[in-house]
Amino acid sequence: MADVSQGSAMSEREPAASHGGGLSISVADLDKIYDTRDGRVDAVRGATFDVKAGEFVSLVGPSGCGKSTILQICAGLVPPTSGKVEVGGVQARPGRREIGIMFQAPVLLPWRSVSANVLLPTEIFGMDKEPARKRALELLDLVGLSGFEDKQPWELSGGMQQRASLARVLVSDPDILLMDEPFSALDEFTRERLNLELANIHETFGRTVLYVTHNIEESVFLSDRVVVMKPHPGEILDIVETGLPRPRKLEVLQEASTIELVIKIRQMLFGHEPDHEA
Amino acid sequence: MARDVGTVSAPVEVHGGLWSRLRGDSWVALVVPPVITTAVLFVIWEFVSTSGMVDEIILPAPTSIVEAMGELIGESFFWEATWVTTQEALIGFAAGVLIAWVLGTLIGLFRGFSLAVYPPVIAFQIMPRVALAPVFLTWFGFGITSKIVMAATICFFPVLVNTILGMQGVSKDARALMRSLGASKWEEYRKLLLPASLPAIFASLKVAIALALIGAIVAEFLGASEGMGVLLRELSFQLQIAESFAVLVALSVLGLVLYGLAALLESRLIFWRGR
Repeated sequence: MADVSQGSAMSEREPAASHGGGLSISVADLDKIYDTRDGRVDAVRGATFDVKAGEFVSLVGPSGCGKSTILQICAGLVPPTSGKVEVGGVQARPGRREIGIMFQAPVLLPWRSVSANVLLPTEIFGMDKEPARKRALELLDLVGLSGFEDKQPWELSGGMQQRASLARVLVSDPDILLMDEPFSALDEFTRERLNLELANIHETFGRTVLYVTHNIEESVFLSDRVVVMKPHPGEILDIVETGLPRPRKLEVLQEASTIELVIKIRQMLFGHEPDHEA
Repeated sequence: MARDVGTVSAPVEVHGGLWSRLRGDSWVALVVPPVITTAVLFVIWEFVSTSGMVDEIILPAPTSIVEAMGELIGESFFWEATWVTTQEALIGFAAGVLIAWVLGTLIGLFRGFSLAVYPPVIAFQIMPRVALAPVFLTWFGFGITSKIVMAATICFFPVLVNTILGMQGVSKDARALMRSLGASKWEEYRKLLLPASLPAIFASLKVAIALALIGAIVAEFLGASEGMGVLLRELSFQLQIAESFAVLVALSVLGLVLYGLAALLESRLIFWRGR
């Protein structure tokens, strides 16, 4: 495991300043309605929030609250029913190098080696081969996978696969990371460790991050602000400033103020829990 | 605790040797049981035929078949027939697979094409295509062409279906990843859908090669001047049953070899199968 917190692996890379402060996300009066066989579903209703350049914002809430839908709309994968979603000052659309998206599943292609998987975005963005290859190897080192670049994905553990996926999303050097419960399928220890590393990467490179999770503790630990959402229909209840110091350390989770914040968000969500979900 | 485990495993060790290997995953477990079954069947068969319980003209003894086999492989007409049938099956296979793959890819890629083409193709599949053999004979004549067309027609469908299923089986996330990267339709196909569908396509090739051989033989039965189907028919008419069985064995071997080649190709190329 590369010691990310010491910055040893990152000293070779350009500092955060090269991102020029990153790009912002702005969501205004967003509605998303799905027409299903069982009728109309209000996945998102009247969502308004923004993510400032370089800020880490989480969307937290139970399943069905529309948090993933919002992320997919920001990625340009799903069109909004109404409202305005601007990413980096322009309307959300797919195929932008400035935006990287990461899913709950690692989505590594089994016929490609680990390094070839990391290089996939550089091929589609038409980036120069040699520098891309060099960068992929640096990133694999950064996420603690040096020595695994020629392995096939299935030879890696779940946590390592998600690390490779993290290297892939970083390879095109995006200003904005959209992350859809990236570590939720991993065991508790691996998840905590990867969260800490993600926090470190964010603090070092200063990318804008929109992070979707159903884990309140995780959202508080990682974020500058937490957008709390409720389901049926998916609506924003509140936006909470965490005010936790950076760089983030795991010990912060044991502090009274953090625990209070987690309890506050939990109560907010339980206050809106419909009976059939209990 | 450790002693308990020792007692439990002891009986296995007493039997030891072959018995424990039969229980495991070793090649012994894969080879010994079927060989025993086959040997027992052959012994019964040999007894039934040589004892006169069943007339040798109806069911020749395995030893007679082996004898006939030995004579056949010394004859040039046998090898010529084998070569003709192999050619028909292989060319028919290649044509059928190519058409199925192209059609399946287009159906998998384009919804409009799928809506227009898939239903008629399924109707064609449901029709018993062996019944087309006489038509092909009229269209393409007694030569090799009508057999190739029959082989291609019969082996076509499993490849088509698996091409489509292989493309449909690609995970939603993988497609979303390609779309989020702004991949063109062609890039999505070449970098995701094509390689993702290869395991299913190669799995169907093993079925298709066996079907192609069936197609070639059926077409030969109906009307041809050369090939193993012709040989088989002539030998049966002349009541040379042991020789007929020898040709059947040769056909099985040919089928096995072709199947083995397809399986070998699959295991070499599709190293990520099942992952």
